[in-house]
Amino acid sequence: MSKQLLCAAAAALALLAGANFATAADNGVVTITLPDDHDSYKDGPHADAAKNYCAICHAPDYLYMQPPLTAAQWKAEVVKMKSVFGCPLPDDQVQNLTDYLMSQNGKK
Amino acid sequence: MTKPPPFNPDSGRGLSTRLDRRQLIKTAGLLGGAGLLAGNTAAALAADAVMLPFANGARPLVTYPQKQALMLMTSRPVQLETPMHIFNEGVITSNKAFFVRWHLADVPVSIDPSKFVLKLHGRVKTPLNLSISDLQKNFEPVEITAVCQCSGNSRGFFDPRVPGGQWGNGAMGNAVWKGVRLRDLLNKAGLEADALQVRLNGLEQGVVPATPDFVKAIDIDLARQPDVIVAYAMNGEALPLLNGFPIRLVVPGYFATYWVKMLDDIEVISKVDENFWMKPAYRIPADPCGCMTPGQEGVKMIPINRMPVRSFVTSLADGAGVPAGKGVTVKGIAFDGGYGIQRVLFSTDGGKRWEEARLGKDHGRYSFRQWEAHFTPKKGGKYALQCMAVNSIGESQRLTGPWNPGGYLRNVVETVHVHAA
Repeated sequence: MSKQLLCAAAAALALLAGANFATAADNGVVTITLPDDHDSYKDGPHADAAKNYCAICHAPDYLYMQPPLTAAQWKAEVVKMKSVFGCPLPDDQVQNLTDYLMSQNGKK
Repeated sequence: MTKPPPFNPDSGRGLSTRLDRRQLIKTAGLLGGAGLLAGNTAAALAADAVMLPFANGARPLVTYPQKQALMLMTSRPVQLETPMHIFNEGVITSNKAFFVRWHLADVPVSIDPSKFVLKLHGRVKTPLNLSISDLQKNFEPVEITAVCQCSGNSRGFFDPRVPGGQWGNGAMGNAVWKGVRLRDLLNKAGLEADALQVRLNGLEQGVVPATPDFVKAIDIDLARQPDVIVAYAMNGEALPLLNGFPIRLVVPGYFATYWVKMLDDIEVISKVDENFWMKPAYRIPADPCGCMTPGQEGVKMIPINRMPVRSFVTSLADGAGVPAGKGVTVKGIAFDGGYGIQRVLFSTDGGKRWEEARLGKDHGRYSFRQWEAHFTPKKGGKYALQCMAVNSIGESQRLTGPWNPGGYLRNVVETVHVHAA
């Protein structure tokens, strides 16, 4: 195996180590590799609103780990994300996104 | 498993300045997001899961960089919880087992400590730019053992439930922190007479520019306490990157929200800071209980501060079985906001009768204090084990959990149900 191939193999192995990959080089630089988002936004009406906007800032587990919330609570979360955290969600998507969140983890 | 569409930092959202600030980070981040790790998700590595006893309480056990298997609450930003049995292994929580909590997703994944600079500026006579080497060589090192507990630890147990990070009881840890006194840095810079608070900012920030940067503030009197340190070591090692490498603030006795990670900016200010993360976020009712009723209006709210007294059984999990007729030693931990644990009481009948538990070695008033008690279930059946800690100023845990809309300050007497047979 050529030296280049060996290097490539070593790099591939390092990447396969993946989620637990961290290096602390001699010069003290610490580098880690974080795993991808753990899960995904499940299909449902207006799932695109979540995929296009919620996903900018956080993983879907922020939705699925919450207790089931009422429509009013989910709407308050959507409005907070838009008005406080600066989510570029268009006004006409606020209700759609609220409906999607209710379909995924709503308290009826 | 579909990956959300990547957010394109070059799509004209004005991020260039923010990204220039940390080119190393961007490079490393792209490596992780380039699809080379496709399929290698946290889920693929989950060996097992912990089921917390509330709705949507499934937490896969995942292994993150510089960490052992921990309970995954969220993957971006990363939030990892320490399983309760870890706290039975010793009074110190190892770096690998220490919980992780970030608020915002733009956090460096690569740090060069030789280039890291801590700025101290604002209402001071001489602004400072301090390297890690400066901190380690030019200021007196101090060590302190202290509990770091997330403000929202145990939020999942609130009834009625409240939105937010749905932690069980494991968003806490106890470590030996080494660093320099914040007071020494402030003295070196020289405070102006109108210095009122210290604003603390780290490298953590939002993905979109409009997101409020994560900034916290503490009063100058607290900042000048000798126990408040800028820590560069944790349990004798560098901090794990996910716990704030290369330096974080340590405010013993206070909730972790003030323990700013990757601390790179300290600003002395002459007004009370009211940025989002100080108001309305992280606020509690002003009364001594920190509680209110759901829907109650007109409640005066103040920034969360010291931790109330708590204790846990660590040697037995809820639902565990124990042998009838034989004695077992029940072990646990207790801690408070810095007055120190004076007593831990233990009950095997749901709080009808209490006996004194034996306290373990004292590692200082900010540390976990281990305790143990003898338990002999004379006959088969159910037993409700409880522990209640009392601190040195006589504060004890509550018999009913305080409720507030933020899901903060839970310190109810916890119950572990065991079955003797």
